[in-house]
Amino acid sequence: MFFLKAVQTNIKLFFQYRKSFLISIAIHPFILLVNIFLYRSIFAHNGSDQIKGYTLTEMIWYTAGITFVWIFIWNFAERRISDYIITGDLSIHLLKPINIFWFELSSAAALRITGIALEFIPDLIIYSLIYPPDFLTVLSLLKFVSVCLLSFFLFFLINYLIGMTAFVFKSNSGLNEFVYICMNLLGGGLIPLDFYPAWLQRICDFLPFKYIFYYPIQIFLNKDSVSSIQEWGYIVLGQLGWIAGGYTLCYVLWKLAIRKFCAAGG
Amino acid sequence: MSEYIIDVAGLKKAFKVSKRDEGFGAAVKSLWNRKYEMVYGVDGIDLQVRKGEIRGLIGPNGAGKSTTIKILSGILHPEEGRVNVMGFVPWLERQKYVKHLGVVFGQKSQLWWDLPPIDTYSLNREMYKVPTKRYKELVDYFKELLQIEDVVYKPVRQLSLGERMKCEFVCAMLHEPSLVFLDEPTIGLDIISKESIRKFIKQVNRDLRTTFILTTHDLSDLENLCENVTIINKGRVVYNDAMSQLNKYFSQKKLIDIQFHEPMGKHLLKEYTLLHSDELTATIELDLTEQDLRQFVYDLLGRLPVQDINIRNIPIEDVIKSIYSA
Repeated sequence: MFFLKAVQTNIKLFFQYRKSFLISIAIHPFILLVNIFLYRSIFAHNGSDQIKGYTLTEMIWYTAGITFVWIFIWNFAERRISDYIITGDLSIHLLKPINIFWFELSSAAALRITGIALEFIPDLIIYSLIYPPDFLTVLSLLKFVSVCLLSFFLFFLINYLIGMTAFVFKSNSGLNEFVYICMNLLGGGLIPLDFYPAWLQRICDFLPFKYIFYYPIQIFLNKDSVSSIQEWGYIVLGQLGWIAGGYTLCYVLWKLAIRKFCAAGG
Repeated sequence: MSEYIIDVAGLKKAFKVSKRDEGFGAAVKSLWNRKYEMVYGVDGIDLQVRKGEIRGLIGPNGAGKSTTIKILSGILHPEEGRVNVMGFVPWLERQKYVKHLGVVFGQKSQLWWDLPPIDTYSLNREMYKVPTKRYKELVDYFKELLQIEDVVYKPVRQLSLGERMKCEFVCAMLHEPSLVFLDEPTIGLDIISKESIRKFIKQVNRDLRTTFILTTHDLSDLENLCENVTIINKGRVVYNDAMSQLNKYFSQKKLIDIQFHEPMGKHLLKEYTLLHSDELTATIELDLTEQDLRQFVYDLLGRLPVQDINIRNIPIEDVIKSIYSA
């Protein structure tokens, strides 16, 4: 099957860059150490066991959860798509009997498979040795992986849509930056959303970003509010809903945009 | 099925171009009040190509040849006109249609930069659903024909331009397309690589009956490969005939190169149309509608100290230059 072959070819490609993956394995534990020092001092200063419902261990592992989610979702489809459009290289892809969406998805999937093998698994082991995660169970880990896979799709679709704006804007790096900041701030990619005032949390409810970071990390931490299978099911449904909407939007906009495409260059 | 693999009539494609006056004020004004005009990149092109032909498609920069190729390959949607390529309307059935199409760009690569070409080939085999046995036969055939037995196993980034272009050709041919677009395939190559690419095109054209459409600025490509040539200028076809006819395009004009015994004063040559002259040589253009060649040469030999004389047609390069600037 072409999709699997494309994933395989991409994995071969990313293995060429294995050194950069190894560097990130070396750097990630330092980030964890910094967070351990930071949250220890914050908790010591407050003199309490919990801040907004998070224990010290949970807070430290929340930041580790952010790193893990990034390992599962990160791809640069937005840059690839906008480069194709701006440089006219999209023509080369249009001359192949492939669907560009699936082709890009195969590249992103391969990148993440490599990332999970070379970053997530070693990171999880090293982190656990530095600061044991007493909350983690096999089931919660499996649930975490399952929602992270859907986060990957959701993030890919957002990236794909940002990339496609190059049909109209030509330069979309500003928009890209804006969406990333929103995603981090309003999705729980920096600190838990529970730290925000109620009105801001309400706004986050209407955006897809909390399905990328906040909910998966809640499941990872095995928080009471999401620990039942039923709650997990609701989160998965929410993710699927956003994915379906994002995919439909991509599909329709692509059909409209491709008619207007002026293949640049000779 | 029609005898033509490509049949195009009345093709038109317009581009919306924004227009504003010079200066900062005009730039600010254009933020809310932008004027556009429609420019026809292709303005009524008719084109027929027979199966198994190697057709040259040339024209000055911005003439509309790339736009034409992009419409023919299904990338652009035209405004007007009828296009039939191998029974398809390219832009309506893109994914089905491009299975029968191969493309080589001299300035863009289809190979994966960090992997050996053989990995791209293997991905293409899956993409075009080429049976494994046939795929192996073809890879062996092309490897031998282009002498790239070892090259296909090295990462593309380590290949020379000549080696890479050979590998690009294989990439475009593995699914045995009936029609192949070559966009400046020999640009930047040395003479030996050019020669081997041309040999390859001829051989494949003979063996597999593949039709090639060749856009190039290199006249030796045309002279070596194409029987027929189509020249496009300002969005229209301005010449569509055999290459050999280009030689006769200015058949009423001749160039006469002369070498003299002794240094010549310019005043002795002032009645001729001189294209070039120095003390010992001169090139004269002769219009046969005004003068008889025989008589002219006879007079020349009588009047001037001629040591050697050569009569030739207007070179193809000049013919094309004059068609481009018409």
